[in-house]
Amino acid sequence: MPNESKDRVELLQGTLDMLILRTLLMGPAHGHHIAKHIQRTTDDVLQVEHGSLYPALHRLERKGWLASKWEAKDARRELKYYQLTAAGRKQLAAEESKWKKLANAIARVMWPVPDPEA
Amino acid sequence: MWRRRREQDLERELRAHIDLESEEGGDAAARRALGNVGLIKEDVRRAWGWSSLGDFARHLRQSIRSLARRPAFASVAVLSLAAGIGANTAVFSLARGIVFKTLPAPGADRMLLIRQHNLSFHLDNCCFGYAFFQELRKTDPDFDGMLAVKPQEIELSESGENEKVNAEIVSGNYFRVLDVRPVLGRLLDESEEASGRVCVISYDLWQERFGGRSDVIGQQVMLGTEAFQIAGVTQRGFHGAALHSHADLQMPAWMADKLMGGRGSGWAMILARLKPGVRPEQAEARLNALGKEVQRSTGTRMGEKDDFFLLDGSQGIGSKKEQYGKPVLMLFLLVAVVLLVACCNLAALLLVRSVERSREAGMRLAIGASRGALVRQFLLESLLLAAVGGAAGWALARAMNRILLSLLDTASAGLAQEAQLDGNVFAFCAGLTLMAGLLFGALPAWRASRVDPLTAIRGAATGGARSILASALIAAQISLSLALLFGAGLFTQTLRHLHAIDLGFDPENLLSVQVEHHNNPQTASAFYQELLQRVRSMDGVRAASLGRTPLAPNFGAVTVHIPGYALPAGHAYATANITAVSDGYFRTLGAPLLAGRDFNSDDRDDSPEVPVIVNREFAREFFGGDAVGHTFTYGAGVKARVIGVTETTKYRSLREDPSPAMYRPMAPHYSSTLQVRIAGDSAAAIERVRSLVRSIDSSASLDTVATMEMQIDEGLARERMLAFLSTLLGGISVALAAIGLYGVLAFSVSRRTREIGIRMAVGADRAGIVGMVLRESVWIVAAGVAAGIPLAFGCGRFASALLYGLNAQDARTAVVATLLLAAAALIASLLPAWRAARVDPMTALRSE
Repeated sequence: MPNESKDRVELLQGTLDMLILRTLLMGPAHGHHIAKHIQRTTDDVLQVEHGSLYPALHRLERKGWLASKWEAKDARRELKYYQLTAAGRKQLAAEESKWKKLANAIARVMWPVPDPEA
Repeated sequence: MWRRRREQDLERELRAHIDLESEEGGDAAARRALGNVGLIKEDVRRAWGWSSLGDFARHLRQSIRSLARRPAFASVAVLSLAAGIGANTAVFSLARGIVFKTLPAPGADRMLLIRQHNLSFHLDNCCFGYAFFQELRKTDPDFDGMLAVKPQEIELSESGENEKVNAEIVSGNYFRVLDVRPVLGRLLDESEEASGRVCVISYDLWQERFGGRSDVIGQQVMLGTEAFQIAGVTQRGFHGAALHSHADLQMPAWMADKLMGGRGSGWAMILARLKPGVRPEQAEARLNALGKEVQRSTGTRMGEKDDFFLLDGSQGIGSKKEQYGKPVLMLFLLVAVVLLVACCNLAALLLVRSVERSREAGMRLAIGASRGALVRQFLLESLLLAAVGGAAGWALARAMNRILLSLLDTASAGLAQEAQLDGNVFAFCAGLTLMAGLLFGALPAWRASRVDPLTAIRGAATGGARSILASALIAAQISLSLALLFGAGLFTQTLRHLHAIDLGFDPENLLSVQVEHHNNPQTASAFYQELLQRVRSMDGVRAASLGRTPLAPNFGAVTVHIPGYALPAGHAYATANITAVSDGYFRTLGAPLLAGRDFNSDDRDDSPEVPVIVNREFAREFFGGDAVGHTFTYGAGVKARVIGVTETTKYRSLREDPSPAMYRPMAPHYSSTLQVRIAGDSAAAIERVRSLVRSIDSSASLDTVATMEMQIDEGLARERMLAFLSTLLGGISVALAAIGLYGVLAFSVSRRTREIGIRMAVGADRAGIVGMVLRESVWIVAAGVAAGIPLAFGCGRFASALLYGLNAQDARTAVVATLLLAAAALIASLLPAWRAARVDPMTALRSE
């Protein structure tokens, strides 16, 4: 059913965007580094699909949340480094609070605190 | 440039990623990790927001391929759209130029022409005395601008070159009211009305005749016999006070008296601009009181019921709106219907195809295409067709525009200047194209999107409902075509009836030659006598005469005083058409003398009792039938005696009712028209008359030379145009309806091949199968005709003012149109029926 699949994509997309923004809070990084960082930090629980990483990076850049520039990693090659913009920081804060609310809400359903008066 | 750069960046970025991966886990792992690089690129591009463009190009290519696979359909579509859109565009440019445009003057939509009924002369006064105009202008408070103008052809001579130009005699405030500015020099004003010897020329004349030189100001020119100075040049694009004609020169009011021999007659057409907020009815009421008062004080005698009235003057004094407005709007309706038929046709054919393509559509839905994308693809195909058709239509419109203009107007360029294909017309054409594309594309696209993927792929889609929709479209086409055919029938018969009108004379092999003699009346008399004699002795000439040719634009009427005749109520006096003719006039025209005798050389215009010949209508109206020998007076008391009665001929126009006319003997005149009855080839005869005139007097000029049939044809230009074009358009639309019917039936047969096979296998004979297909066609045609007859009668009512000799609900025409349509439908149905009858049951059953 088309509607369901669309919702799912959006949810994943939003999450990935937030994870990218959070990763870049620590400083500029290139695509490969961002992917590896997410994977390592979550002990490989979250595998970043590269197929969605690059479209996401370009989309975030187009929205003005990221800026990019080419920098030499070593003598052999240049890499495209992404950096958080001021708007990106704001967006991260907004998404984080949204995510917290959502996580709390889900938590209350999943692991209810027993009502003392019951 | 910028785009390629971004693509390269993306390529580098992804390559770098693969490099980094492969350093850790080898090449294969790297590629696996990244997945399908092409797909990623595509997704990134979508993130850039380019995908819609890229998609569009891809979809466009797909549409072109899809259409190229069906060349027959594509060419029917493009041709019918090109014809439809082209015709609409051409007719729109004409309708805009004739009906919708106004004079380029401020407040042009409030401009009105002042006219007055003249019951006595059976006509309306167009023109007024200049004293009347001046007085009215001062006293009537309802107008904030009132000008007087008279179109006047005049000979312009300058440095030894003569040329006739279309000029205007104008009041001093003319340029102020029309808000015209000079590009050079100055324009005329009030102080020059009475005697100023200055004139103003148009930008075009300045460029063509005077090479655009600035020293043209102050240059001496001769206008007729008067010396003038050029005072200024009007702004570019200004061509006088008539939208549909072209005046190149303006001269002051006093020239009118000069040119018309100081007769002080009414020459001034009055164009007046209503004050904002004043209703025309109010102005008309006040004008009727005020105008008659002014007429009395300026010495014009009019009847009590000779009321003033106001005419639309938004197109100035020379407008073809009255003459061609209705036919052109009618034409607009006809071409709109043809385009509608073309759209119905394409919608039906596309609909049929959309069913054929439902498998493709279902497949694409199943592999994840959205319904929106499917609709888009179908619409894109339609719009592509429309765009190609529209482009071809625009090219066609140019040619059609020229043809239309030549059908309407044989001589004047006045209409052409307003009916050009400009930016506005292009915008109309483009809008129409888009609308047509959506009109015929929307339904099939919507259909396509409602395909159920599962059944479609299984090939089990039933065609029932869909073919009903397509059949309904074909029926609609048939009803519209019927209305068109009916209209074509009405117009064709109108033209035939007008041609068959009894003119009272014989137009065949009759030449009319207008000859201008430029010297004085004494030599003119001798000139015309010699001309007449020598023409009569020419080979191949049966008879010749001088006088006014019937149906010519010039005519005069005069008051007559008949002893014992009682005037009809409301008439101030009795009048009759009057003209002077030579002996042999009636014999040359082929109008029989009913009583009395023809003129002879002893009959003179200046005898104390002028001998006159009157027409049958004159004799009937004024003398109760027998007129010969009776006397009466006419004009300013001239005595006349009737010596003969002739048949009533059509005098001013074909559609007129019989009106009294009197003929007096020819007097010397500057210009006259020669009638020549010839025995054969008119072109050769015209050439011989031409050289004869030149050999008698090299300074004489032939103004119009035409056969009488040509002249009648010219008067029937709009009827001929309508008859010709409605027949053409009716034919096109019937052809389209036939193609549509064929397409739908052929589709139906191909879908029912299996069913037909089964029927045959269980014993149905071929005739039965043919009958089955024809029955389907009969239903469609019957529905179309049932809807088409009321539609046709409705259109007929709209056209009734343009008809002659039959009514707008003519049953015979309706029957003939229906039969023609049925015949076309039968032809279109026979091929599919024949194909159905040839179905081989075994193959049909095996194929499933």
